[in-house]
Amino acid sequence: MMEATASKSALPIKVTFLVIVGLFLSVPIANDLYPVLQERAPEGMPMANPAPPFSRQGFLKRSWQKSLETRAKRSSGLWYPLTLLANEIYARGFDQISAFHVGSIRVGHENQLFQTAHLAALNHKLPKNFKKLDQRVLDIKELQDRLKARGTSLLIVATPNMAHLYPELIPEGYLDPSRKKRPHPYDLVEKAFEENGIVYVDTADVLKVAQSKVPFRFFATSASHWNDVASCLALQAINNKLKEMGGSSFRAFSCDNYTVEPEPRHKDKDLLQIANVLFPKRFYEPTPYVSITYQEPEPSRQPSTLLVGTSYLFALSEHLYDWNLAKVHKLFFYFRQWRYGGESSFHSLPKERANWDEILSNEIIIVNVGIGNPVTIGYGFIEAALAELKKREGVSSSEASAKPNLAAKGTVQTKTGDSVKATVVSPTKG
Amino acid sequence: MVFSSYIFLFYFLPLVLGAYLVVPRVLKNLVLISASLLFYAWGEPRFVGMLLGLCAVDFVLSQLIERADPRRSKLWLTLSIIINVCSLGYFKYANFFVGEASRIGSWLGAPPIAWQAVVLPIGISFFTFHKISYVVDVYRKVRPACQNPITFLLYILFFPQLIAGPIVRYHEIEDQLHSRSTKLNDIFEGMIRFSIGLGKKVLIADVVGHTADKIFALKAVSLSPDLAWLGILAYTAQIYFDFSGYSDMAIGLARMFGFRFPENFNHPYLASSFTDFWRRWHMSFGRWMREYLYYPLGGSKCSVSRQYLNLWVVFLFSGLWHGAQWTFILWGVWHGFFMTLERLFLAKHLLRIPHAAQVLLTLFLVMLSRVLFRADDLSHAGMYFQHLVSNSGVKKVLPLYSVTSTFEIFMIGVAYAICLWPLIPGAVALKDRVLSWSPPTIRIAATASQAALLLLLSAAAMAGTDFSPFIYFQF
Repeated sequence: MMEATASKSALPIKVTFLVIVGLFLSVPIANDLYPVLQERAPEGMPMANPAPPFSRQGFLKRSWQKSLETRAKRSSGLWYPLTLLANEIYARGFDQISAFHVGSIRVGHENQLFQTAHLAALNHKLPKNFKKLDQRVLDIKELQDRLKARGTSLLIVATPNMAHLYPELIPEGYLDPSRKKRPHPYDLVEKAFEENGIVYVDTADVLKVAQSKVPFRFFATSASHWNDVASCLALQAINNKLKEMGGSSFRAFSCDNYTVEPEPRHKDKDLLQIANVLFPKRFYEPTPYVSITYQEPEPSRQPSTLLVGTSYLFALSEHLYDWNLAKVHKLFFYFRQWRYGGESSFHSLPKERANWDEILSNEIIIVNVGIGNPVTIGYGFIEAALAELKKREGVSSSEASAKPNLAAKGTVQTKTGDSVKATVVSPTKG
Repeated sequence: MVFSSYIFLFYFLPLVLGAYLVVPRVLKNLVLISASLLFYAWGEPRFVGMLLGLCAVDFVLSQLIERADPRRSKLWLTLSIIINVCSLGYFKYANFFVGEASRIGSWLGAPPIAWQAVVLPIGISFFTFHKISYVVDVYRKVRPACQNPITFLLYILFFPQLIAGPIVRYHEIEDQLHSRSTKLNDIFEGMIRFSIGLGKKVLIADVVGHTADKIFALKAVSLSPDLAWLGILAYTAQIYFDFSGYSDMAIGLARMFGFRFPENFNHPYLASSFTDFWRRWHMSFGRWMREYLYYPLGGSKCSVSRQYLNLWVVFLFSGLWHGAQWTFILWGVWHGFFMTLERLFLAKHLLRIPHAAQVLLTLFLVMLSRVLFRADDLSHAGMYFQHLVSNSGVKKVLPLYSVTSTFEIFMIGVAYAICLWPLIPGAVALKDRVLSWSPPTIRIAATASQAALLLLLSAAAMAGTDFSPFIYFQF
């Protein structure tokens, strides 16, 4: 009797449960019929491909089913919100961004996001290409000398990642104390630079010294790259070194004036964006942005500049552009893609050969070396440039002038809509 | 198709359940058979014909077994068993035996045997056991043979149990196959059970399995004893939550369609001996082995030496059933060995120690046997055992993050807490007291809320992870 009464009184609970679960389970089908939920991919993930057409062969090989399964998941309308929910739980409860660390982002102490790519060097693990160091250093030295003879300053710039500057923010489980006795790969690279007389700037040292003078870290909790002040200080150090080298340099400036904004700007939230958490604001922290102060009068002409390397150069590139420090400058991102000036969009390099006339006419070439991966320097640029110079020296001037210029000329639309004449350049394989 | 996929959860299940509920009674079995064929074809399109063909053969032979005189009936039964065992043997063991023969041949100087590797159809061990139990029961006249091919097909093909069990005997669900009703309470209970199973699979098994996979993939130079122990802890949790999660989902799904499947697990890691373990672990398989192998061999109604022989045969066969590898055979030997010891003297001694110690000792020995179950081959298993106790040869210690994560470690803890909490003195009594205090409606509301939360969390976890096949599909 009691059971029957209980069963009767539980009926609304059971019906409510089944209605809720039924509605939840029917969301994707309903969304296919009447799209209400926006089909959206988590940041950094590809959108769903269209449903593949049925084919008997595809069905027998299961490729059709697999495509449909991926499509069903990604177009369900639930993929994006549920990924955010899952990642929020992992981030809040376990300081990680996915269940199995599918992505490369982790949460460190004090909510600091970081990338696993930097852990190997932090644990003093030598990169696989370490044996190429000796040859690479010789190449850099030779290129530096040859370019100097042509009036171009080639400066190598070591750029630190967050884990290198703030290892205390990395949880212990990611660290391997047993490897601490071994040398850090960058220390070996730096030693090789010193021994071979390579001119370089270690911006990590600059930032470590400057740290005591500012009330914030040089990396926002939500960013993968250094903040505005750090990149400004790095550019300042680069400029000082360029002046020391005696060639062209930029107009002197100061990074002392900055405003701390309550929320990071877009560029200081990149890591958080691809972390895809439900409530990202808890990772926000006040972030400084520099207001440039020039310490020299505007020169009659600014030096033409080329930057080659990783995304740490984006901020330097933007400073050169925004602060009008360089006449023309370009950034070869991994020597595969290029960005012009302060523009944030990338252009894949076409198949044409690099316009070496333009490249070698730069007064300043800055190549960065990531402290997390210190042997990969220039991503083929050093070797390609050296080969080009050697080739040119072996060809008579008349022959050289008769050679067709294979560079493709193009017009690039900047963010503001202005058209800028630019040369689209692709690398030769280094 | 796997239960823990979006295509199953958000398309297949709502559509099939919806269709099943709206079609007239006479069409319900056809709906389930069509759905089951689609379910199987989704993952194994090439073997659907073979599966249907083997079902047809057993259906015809079961009719002959029933109608023939005893002598001929036995012949038909033998023929059916030979066909089933041969199909299982070919698909599952041919590669193994040819490989071994080739190896022996190479020792004797013979050239290697040219052999195109056979692809294993998913679930063949399970549906073969279903069919064998059916024809044997018809022969034994436990129940008359099924006269309706549609009903018979549904018994074999019904998608919740088609590829990983539980191994349901025909007479256990015969009435339900012919006629059943699905009430709101069945769908409610079924969905609750399904959600629990999905949570076990997605939130625990897949998570801890990630650690196990990483550690079992380590080479000897990196496998330190602490990581090796973490690996078997993780794998022992993974295999239970994976398989019992699957069984929960199968039982829950069957319930939604009006079927009552037998239980497959009963807190196996609380077993106080190996004998007890096999009463709690993969119970439908244990029942099958008892009914269709152990008893026919003479069971325990024969001489003592013969009893032990029967036991060893059963466990060797159990090992081989799980896979055509020496590691599985050794796993069977391990269990047979401890079962024998228990029967000889160990059981008496075990009874003298506290219950919790019995449970933990059994779990420890079962855990060690998991190394054999998980290792790629005998040399891998040997290396792993060695590294459980020795640090020698470990030159490249890995940071913990490279094999696991905070979440995975936490879920390993959750898994063992779920398995072992009744060992805490007074915990069971406290649970009973809480349950007796709370009104049934509160209990139902709490269960429903937990299930809804598990479903949501599982769907969220599935959103961010890649395809993860069930371990037991390979068997």
